[in-house]
Amino acid sequence: MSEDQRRRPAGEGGFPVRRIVVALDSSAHASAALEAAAALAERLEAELEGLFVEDIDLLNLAALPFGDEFTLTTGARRRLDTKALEDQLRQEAARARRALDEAARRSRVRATFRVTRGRVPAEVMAAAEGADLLILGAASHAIGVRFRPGRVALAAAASAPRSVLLLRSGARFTGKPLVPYDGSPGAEKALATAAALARLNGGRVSVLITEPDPRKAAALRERASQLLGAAGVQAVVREELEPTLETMCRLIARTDSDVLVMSADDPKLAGEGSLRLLERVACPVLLVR
Amino acid sequence: MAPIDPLPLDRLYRRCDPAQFRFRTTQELEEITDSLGQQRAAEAMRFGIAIGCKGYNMYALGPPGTGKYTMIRQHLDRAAASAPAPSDWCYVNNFAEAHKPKALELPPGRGRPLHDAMSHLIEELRASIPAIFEGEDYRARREALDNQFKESHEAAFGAIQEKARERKIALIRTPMGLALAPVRDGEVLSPEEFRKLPEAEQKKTRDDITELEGQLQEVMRKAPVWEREHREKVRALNREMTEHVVGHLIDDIRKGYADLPHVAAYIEEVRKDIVENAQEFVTQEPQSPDEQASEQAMRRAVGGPAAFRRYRVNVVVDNSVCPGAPVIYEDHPTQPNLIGRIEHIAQFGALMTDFNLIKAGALLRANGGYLILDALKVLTQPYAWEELKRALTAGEVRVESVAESLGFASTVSLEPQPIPLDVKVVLLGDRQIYYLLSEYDPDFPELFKVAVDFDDVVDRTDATTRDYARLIATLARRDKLKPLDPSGVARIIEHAARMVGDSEKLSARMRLINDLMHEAHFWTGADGKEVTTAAHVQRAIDAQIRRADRIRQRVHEEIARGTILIDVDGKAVGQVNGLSVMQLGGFSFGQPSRITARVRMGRGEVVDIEREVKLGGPIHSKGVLILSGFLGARFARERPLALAASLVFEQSYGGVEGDSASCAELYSLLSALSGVPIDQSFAVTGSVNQMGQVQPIGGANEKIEGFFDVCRARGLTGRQGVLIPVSNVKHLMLRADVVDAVRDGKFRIFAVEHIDQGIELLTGVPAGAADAKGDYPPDSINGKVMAQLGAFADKARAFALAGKEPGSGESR
Repeated sequence: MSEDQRRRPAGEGGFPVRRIVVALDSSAHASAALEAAAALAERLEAELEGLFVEDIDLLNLAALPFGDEFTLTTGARRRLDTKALEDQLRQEAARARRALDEAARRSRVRATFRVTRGRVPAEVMAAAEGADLLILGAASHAIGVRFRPGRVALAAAASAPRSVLLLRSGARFTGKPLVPYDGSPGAEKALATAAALARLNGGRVSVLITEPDPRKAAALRERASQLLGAAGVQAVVREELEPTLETMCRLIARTDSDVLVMSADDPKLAGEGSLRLLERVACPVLLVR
Repeated sequence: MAPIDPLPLDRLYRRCDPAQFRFRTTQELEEITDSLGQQRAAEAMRFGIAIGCKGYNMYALGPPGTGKYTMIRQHLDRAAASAPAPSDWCYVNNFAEAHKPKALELPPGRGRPLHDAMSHLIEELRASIPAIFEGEDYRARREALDNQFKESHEAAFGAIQEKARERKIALIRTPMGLALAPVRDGEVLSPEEFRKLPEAEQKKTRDDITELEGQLQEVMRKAPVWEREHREKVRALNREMTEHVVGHLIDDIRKGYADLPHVAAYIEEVRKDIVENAQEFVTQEPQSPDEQASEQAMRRAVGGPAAFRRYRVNVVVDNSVCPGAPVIYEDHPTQPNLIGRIEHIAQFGALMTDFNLIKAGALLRANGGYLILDALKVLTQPYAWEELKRALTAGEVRVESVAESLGFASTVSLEPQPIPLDVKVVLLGDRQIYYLLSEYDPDFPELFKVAVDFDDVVDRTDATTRDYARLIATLARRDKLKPLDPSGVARIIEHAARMVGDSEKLSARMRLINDLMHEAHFWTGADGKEVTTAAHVQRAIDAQIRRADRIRQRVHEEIARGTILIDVDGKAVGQVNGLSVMQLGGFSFGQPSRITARVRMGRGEVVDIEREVKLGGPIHSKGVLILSGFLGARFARERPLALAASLVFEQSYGGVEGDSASCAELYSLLSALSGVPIDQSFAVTGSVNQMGQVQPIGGANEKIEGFFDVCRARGLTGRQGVLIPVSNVKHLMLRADVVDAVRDGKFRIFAVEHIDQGIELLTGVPAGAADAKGDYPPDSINGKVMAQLGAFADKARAFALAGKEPGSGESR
């Protein structure tokens, strides 16, 4: 791949991104999201917008006459005070802003920062309206030792108006995509996006043919190879007889792929599909719309 | 007084006759093993080595080059060869207190195998322990434990969340922790919405939240306990898995040390520690370049990554190849080189260390044997002497840095277990250091009770001459020098006598003899010969003198040019040629000086001008004061010594010390008082006592040769000569050209016993003997002196009667 191709400006190819919204809070997952967002914005020459939402549910809780909290470190009970909570949220926002500015400076991208107050999923979805890509941490803030997808991540997977990239803390994101392909328009779009990602990073695309019929699968293989070949990207095509979420999760763990790219309309994500996917796949997931 | 004759030729130089040697070259001679003429030192050495009591360390004292080191080394090597090899010593980790490494004593030769066995163990563990933890069996059991923990955790919180959900309450994450809140459609009720609820519902919600909070608090209180229990279960699993691998490896090593319970106990400690900390063997390697570089440096220094270092064995003393007791010479006895040191390695700006970085010093390496040190070096190295004494007094070596022992260290450091010390220290040094230490360091006599005193001269007998020849042969063989024939050996022996300025002694400073032999070897080679002869030795001696005699040449040149005023013929009143010796480095030469005396009436003072201007040393002043004593006792017993005399070394600007000119000063005084001139063909050396007896002085050979050189430059007349004390005759080993001049009647040397003999020679006038009344013949020197002093006394009395001050009268 030539330098020109790798440096192709945003908006060209299958991944037209000029504005990236990244949801920020104090969690490690949000930090991973910010790092990935800054790296992508640099490569795509896109603008970065950091969003911090002051959770109205927390403020409502603090305003209730019985709003007590139990600290995680000691389990001690203490009164949840509105004023103190607002101060904490402001400090958290300031930290998020500093992290955004630092990431933008390192990646040499333009960044803006916005603080809103409201219900977090709604505010994030609203912010995503004006963007091409939404990036956020995939994990829940709830207590527990097991990984759980967060309500905002699940809401974004189900109903974000734009493509959404969900990451866990510690996940590497170098843009080696694995993309399930069934020939649907959504899958075509996901394949094009994966090709664009691979081209950005000089990698190759692993394609997973999710068609049980061998004849149709062969046609899909041919089609995928053509599309990726036309995009100038090397393809590794695999076929799976049982194209389930579990199959994909096992496969991605065995390959060197580090991002799962799939259509947000993929039927496998219906119902609790998104929840199961995010629970099982440790690598970043890019849901394409 | 009977006239004295010049000394005969055979008194001027004692030859070593080559004919006495029955060899053609030194190759035929047997080597000599004992040091020549050092019986006292050898006896002291044998005593010092044999006695086992504490504090009986040795100090070998004597001038440099007397073969102290060689002889001591020979004695010690001999004693060490028959002694058993001492223990090996190792430092190992102290698993209870890591900053206090343990010292392990093992029989000689068994430290290194322990080190190798533990290194092998580490290599085995590096491979086998990760294999266990990556194995299916371990993974399955570990996953089961993790899942069990997660399930119990989830179940506890899940139960609360379920109960809460049933009561339309949510468990919410706050910035600092968790809280319970009433919800509707997944959203927390605002205060207004809550207030709009019926009173009963509000109360129920509050009650529900209160109840749930109690349960939540209970779960949160238990959570750390569950985590702890989980960790303990994981540790127990790790222990079980590790024990399986480590057990038989450790058992194999332990079997080899069953006869050493303390080593077996240490190996058991290793087993326990490995089992307890097995997880560290599978810890990820450091990732950042800095971490990697630092880790690599540490690995290079102590071998292996951090997790394994604590199981290594640091063999600080390895006597596996030592046939007997060690004999160590430490030529750079700094405090760390003596005591040992703890090295550090920089890691991320901090200095890190562990027991693997402990290095033994000379004391530990010599433990169980002998340590030879140069006293001056030890004393001039900061803290080396104090630490050496401390170790010898305490009977143990405590390895620590100077900064630490002074309390200046701020880095993390170690306190290694002290190692018991059983060593015999031999200090080599000169006598002055020995006497200074004896005087000023109270510890010294306690710790160095055996003085091994090396003589710097050897009696010159037939036997020692033969031994000396063998010694020359030994040195030639040792240094691969060309063999010497009897003439070469004889010339060296003669030179050895000249070096100590005594025809009856030989120098014991073998280093100088060895240097001369090397130079003679060089000249032999330059001459294209294979055997060194007297001519080559003489050439080496001449070259040595030539290289060193620039100043002598200048001085004699100035005398020849008349810049320094010395008369070597004619006569003068109150003026005599004295002789002094100038020592420059290893070369000394004689130089004549004009000594003059002026006398006048006074109060009995002999003024030493050198002393008045602080150019004279105390011994010189003593010599001058003795003159007053002599004059007073001989000439003014019954009347005042109304004399004022002044004495001076003319053209002397560098200071005078010693009393070897007191004879000459007395002669010049007697000449000045008597008015009889002294023959300037003579030079005089010798000290005098109050009785007028002439006493020996040093440097007789150089002084005679110095005056001879000046006379020869001016022209030898046959009248010229030197007066020396009788007691110096045995010291004469004069240069060949002086001896030749005497043989030819061109130069003379007189041995004088009493001042009267000397003054007769110098003036040609009898000294005169006192009669029963104590008066001397009027024409004799003594008579004239007495008359003059009587005249001074009379005048002084006349002045006193007239009320005038004496001392303003005539002078001569």
